[in-house]
Amino acid sequence: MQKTVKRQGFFKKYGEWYLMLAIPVIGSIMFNIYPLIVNAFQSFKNTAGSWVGLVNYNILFTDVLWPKAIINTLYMGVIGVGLSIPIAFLLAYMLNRVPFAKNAFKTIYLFPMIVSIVAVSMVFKFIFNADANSPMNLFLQMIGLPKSDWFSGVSTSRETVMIMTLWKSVGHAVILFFAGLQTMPVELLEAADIDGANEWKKLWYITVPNMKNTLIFVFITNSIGALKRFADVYAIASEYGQPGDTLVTIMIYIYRKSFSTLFYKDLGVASAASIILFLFIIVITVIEMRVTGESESLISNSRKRGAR
Amino acid sequence: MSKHTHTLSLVNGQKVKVHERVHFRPYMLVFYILLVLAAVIVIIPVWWMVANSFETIKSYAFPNPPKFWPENFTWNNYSLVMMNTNIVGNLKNSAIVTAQDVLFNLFIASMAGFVFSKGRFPGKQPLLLLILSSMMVPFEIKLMPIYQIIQAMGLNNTYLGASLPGCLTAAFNIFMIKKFCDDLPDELLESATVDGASKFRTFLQIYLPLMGPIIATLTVTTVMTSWNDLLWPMIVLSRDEMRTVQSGLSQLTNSSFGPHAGMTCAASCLSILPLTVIFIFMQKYIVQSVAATGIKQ
Repeated sequence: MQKTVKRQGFFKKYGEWYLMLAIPVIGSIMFNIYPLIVNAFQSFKNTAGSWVGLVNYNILFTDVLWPKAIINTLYMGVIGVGLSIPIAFLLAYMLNRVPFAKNAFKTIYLFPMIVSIVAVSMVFKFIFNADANSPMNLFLQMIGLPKSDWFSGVSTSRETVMIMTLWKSVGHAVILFFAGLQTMPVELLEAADIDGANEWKKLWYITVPNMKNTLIFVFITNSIGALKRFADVYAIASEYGQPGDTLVTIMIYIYRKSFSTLFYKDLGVASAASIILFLFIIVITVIEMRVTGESESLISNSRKRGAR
Repeated sequence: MSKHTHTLSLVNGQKVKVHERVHFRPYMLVFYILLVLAAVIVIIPVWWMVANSFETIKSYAFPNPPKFWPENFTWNNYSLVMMNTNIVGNLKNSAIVTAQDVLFNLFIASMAGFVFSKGRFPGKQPLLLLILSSMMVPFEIKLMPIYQIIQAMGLNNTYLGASLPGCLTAAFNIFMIKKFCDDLPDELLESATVDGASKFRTFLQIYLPLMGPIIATLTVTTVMTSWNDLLWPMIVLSRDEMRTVQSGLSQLTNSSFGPHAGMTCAASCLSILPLTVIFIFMQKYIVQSVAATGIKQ
C-alpha cells in the first residue's frame, strides 16, 4: 500500500520530466542504439541470416577493393586536411590583420558552403575537364605546363576532388579560425610589435600557440568528416568510383554493398565495413578527448553541469 | 600604434568605441591582394554557372574557352529543365523535408535541452549520455538498419521517413540548446512551479521565448544541412516524384546519356536559389551561426 503511494509520488514528482524526454529517448534507442547492435550482429551473419562468424570480415579483407577504399579515404583525408587547415588559417590570419571589409570577405568565403555539392561538381567537372581546351588546361598551357586529365586521370582524380572540396569548405574553417583569432588578446600582438617581431614570427610564436584549441577542433571535425567522405566523390564519380577505382571511399564501398543496383550486394560485408569505419572514428574521437583534455570533452562537460 | 579602426576602451566604466586613424602598413597591401585573389577564386565558378544558365547552348558541351557573360541571352535552359525534368517537384520536396526537419528537430531539441538543463530527476545523466551517444556514432554507418526500420514502418518514400531518423535523435541541437539553457536563470522554473504551472507549460510559455537566439542559430544550420543533404534523402526517397532537389540533380548530372549542358546549369542554379536568397538577406547571421556552432555538413 505504502509502496504504491510512494510510486505515485515518484511519478507525480518526476513523471512530466520523463514524458517530455520520451521522444528523443525512444528516438535514440530506435535510430542509434538498435541500428548499431543490428549492424554488429549483421556483420557476423550471411545473406540468408545464419551465423557465420568472421567470414564477412574475411571476405572484406580479401576483397581487392577494400584496401583501395581505405587507402583512397586516408589519402584524400590527408591531402584535404593538409590543404584546408593551413590555407584557411592563413586567410583568417590575414583577415584579422586588415582594417576594412572583413565581413565582406567572410561572407564571400562562406558562400560555397550553401552551394550543394552536386551543383559544385557540375561546375568543377567543366573547369577541370580532361579536354585540352578546358579552362584549367588552358591555364596550365598559359603558364607553360602540360595538360592534365584532372578528374579522369588515375593519378590526378583524387587530388582534383580535394581541390573541389577545398573550394567548397575552406570558408567554414576560415570562419572558425577567425572567431578564434578574435578572442585572442590584442595586447599580445601589440607587445610583439613593440619588440620588433616580424609578421612571420608573430604568426608562428604567438598566434598559432594561442589558437591551439580551435586548430584541434577543426582538425578533428575535418578528419572525422574525411573518414566519412561520400557526397563529393559520389557527385563526381557516382558509385562507380572511376577512374581506376581511385574514387571509391569507405562510404562508397558501404553504399555499393548495401544499396547499389549495379554491383553485387552483400549486407553482411557492408555491416562489417561499417563496423571497421566505426572503429576508425572511435579511435579519432578518443584521441580528440585525450588531446583536448577531459575538461573540454562533451561528456565531462555535461557531467559537471548535471552534478549541481 | 594601433591598426584597428576601433578599439574598445573604458571611459567612466563604460565601453566606448574609439576611432583611431588606420596606419597603413605595407603588409596590408599584400594581405588584401591575397584575400581578393581568394575571393575571386571562390566567386568565378558560381559566376560561370549563373552566366551559362542564361546562354544559348546548342550542344551537350559548354562553350570553350569559358564565357562569363551570356552572348545570346535566353530563358530557354530554364524552360527546358522545367519541362523535361521534375525539378519543380524536387524543389517542392526539398522545401517540405527541410521545413519538417526544422519544425520537428527544433521543437524536440528545445524541449529536451530545457529538461536536461533545468530538470531534477533520477537518471538524468544516463539519459543525456544515451541521447548524446548518437553524436559519436555517425549516421553513415547505421544507414542500412535505419533504412530497414523506416521500410518496416512503411515510411520509405514518404516525407516523414526522410525527417524522422534525424529529428528523433537531434543530439547536436539538444546539446547546443542545453548549453544555452544552462545560462538562463533557474528561478523562473521555481516561481512557475510555485504558481502551479506544469513543466511543459513553463517550457512553452517562459523558457521557449527566451531561447530565441539559439533557436534562430540552429534554424539556420538545420536549414543548410537538410537542404544540401544528399545520402539519406537519396536512399529513402527513391521514387522519382519523391526525390529531393539534390538527388534529382545528381541523377541529372550523372545520367549516362549526357545531359544538355545548359539544362544542368539551369537546374543547378535553381537548386541553389532558395539558400542563396536566404544567404543574401541573412549573411551576417549565417556567418555568426557557423562560428557559434562549428557545424559542418
